[in-house]
Amino acid sequence: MATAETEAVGLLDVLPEGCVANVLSFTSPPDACRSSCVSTTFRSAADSDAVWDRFLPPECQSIISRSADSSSILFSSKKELYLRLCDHPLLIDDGKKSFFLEKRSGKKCFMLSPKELVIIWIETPRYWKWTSLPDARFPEVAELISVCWLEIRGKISTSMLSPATLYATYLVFKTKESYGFDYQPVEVAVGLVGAEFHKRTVYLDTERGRRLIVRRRGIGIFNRARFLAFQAPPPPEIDDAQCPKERGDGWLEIGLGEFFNGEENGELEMSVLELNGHWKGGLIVQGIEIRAKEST
Amino acid sequence: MADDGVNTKVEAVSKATTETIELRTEDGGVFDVDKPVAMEFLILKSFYEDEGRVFDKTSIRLPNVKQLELSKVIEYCTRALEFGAKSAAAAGDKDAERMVRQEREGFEAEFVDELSNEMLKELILAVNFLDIKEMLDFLIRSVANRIRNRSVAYVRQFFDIENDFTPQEEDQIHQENAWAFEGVDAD
Repeated sequence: MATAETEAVGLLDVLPEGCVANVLSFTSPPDACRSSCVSTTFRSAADSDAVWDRFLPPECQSIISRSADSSSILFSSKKELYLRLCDHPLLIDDGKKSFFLEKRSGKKCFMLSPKELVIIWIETPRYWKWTSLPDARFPEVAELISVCWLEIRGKISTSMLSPATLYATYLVFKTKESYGFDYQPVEVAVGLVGAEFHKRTVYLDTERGRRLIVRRRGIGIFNRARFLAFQAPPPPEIDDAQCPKERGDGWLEIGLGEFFNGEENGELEMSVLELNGHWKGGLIVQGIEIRAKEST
Repeated sequence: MADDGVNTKVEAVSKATTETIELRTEDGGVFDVDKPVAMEFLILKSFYEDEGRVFDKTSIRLPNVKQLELSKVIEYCTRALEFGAKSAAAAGDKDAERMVRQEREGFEAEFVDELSNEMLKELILAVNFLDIKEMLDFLIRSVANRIRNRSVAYVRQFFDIENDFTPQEEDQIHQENAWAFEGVDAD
């Protein structure tokens, strides 16, 4: 009967209330945000706490309570809380860590401040000093004056990270009349303590390193002596991932490696090493960031 | 002679243990459904259990449900019960549990792949009426997968919704959520 078909009841008319919210809670934060444009009914479902509660990590409240600012965080909806945590990292654990969410997926991300890192020689003012910068998220950052032995390590328990998630780790820094880093490969590594570490070579020199090394192929400029400590292979052609990138907050970052937070638990360690014996300096370290790779 | 004897004996036993309920759909379909499967339909379960009716062979008419949908529902619920049993049997053995999970995921993917958007919606209406929580959850997740990363226009069409925003209102909401519009699939 044709009339019966054209008068078919719309899905939304018949489904129990909250069904649209239920559907949206299985999509993703960007999907829910776009859905607010569909219609007024859809918007109220898309903006509802039922949906955004699902996108917030389960331990969210307990992480927020580790912040000195937790009482001053006012939000009128879970959506607002979610977006706030994406755009405004929260200082937790006495200002030693910063917590935020990856916007498209809601995965937990952290930056470890220099106070939370092991920086060899940090206690010696002739080598490193503590300083404050207005555009740093932590009250104090570490400035490298000059060292021979550059070693920075950070650790975070995998239990703090989102499960079944691919993470990328970065050293976040600035240069300040840096020297000793030109053409110098720096060894970085990521891995679970007690398991295999994935090492790679990067360069902390921003301007010159990349242009010149790409131009000069072959071992020529690399002094044999520099490699005795590592037996590093001959410099391969540098790819983009081995050079620092500019971040949106005015700092630079260099990738230390990726880690998939799967079934193994433990301490994830990230390290930056440059032990070649020559003097280098002029870096300001804001921290090590562990952030979820954007889901495709 | 001996074989026949065994066969008839087995038949008699299975008939005695598998109770079925006869369900009739609004478009004339008739289904003999195993009792365990039928009891997954909470609307039936409460009809018998909560209201203290004796389970007999009366045929039950299901308004709002057509035969195509009911056959799909029966298919899903039967398999779901099987997976439930397999899962229980595999409890404690991680490899076996994973295998059951993968098998189930494979079945569910195939099941939903064959459904058109229209059919998916009809199924949701039927399952909502029959009150089958597990299958409703599954269908809802499937709808979510269908609208994931799709344009606003696509979502409107899928749910048959009219846009009741003014152009200015829609513009403003778009602006507020601009970041979410990157990388959306083309219609």
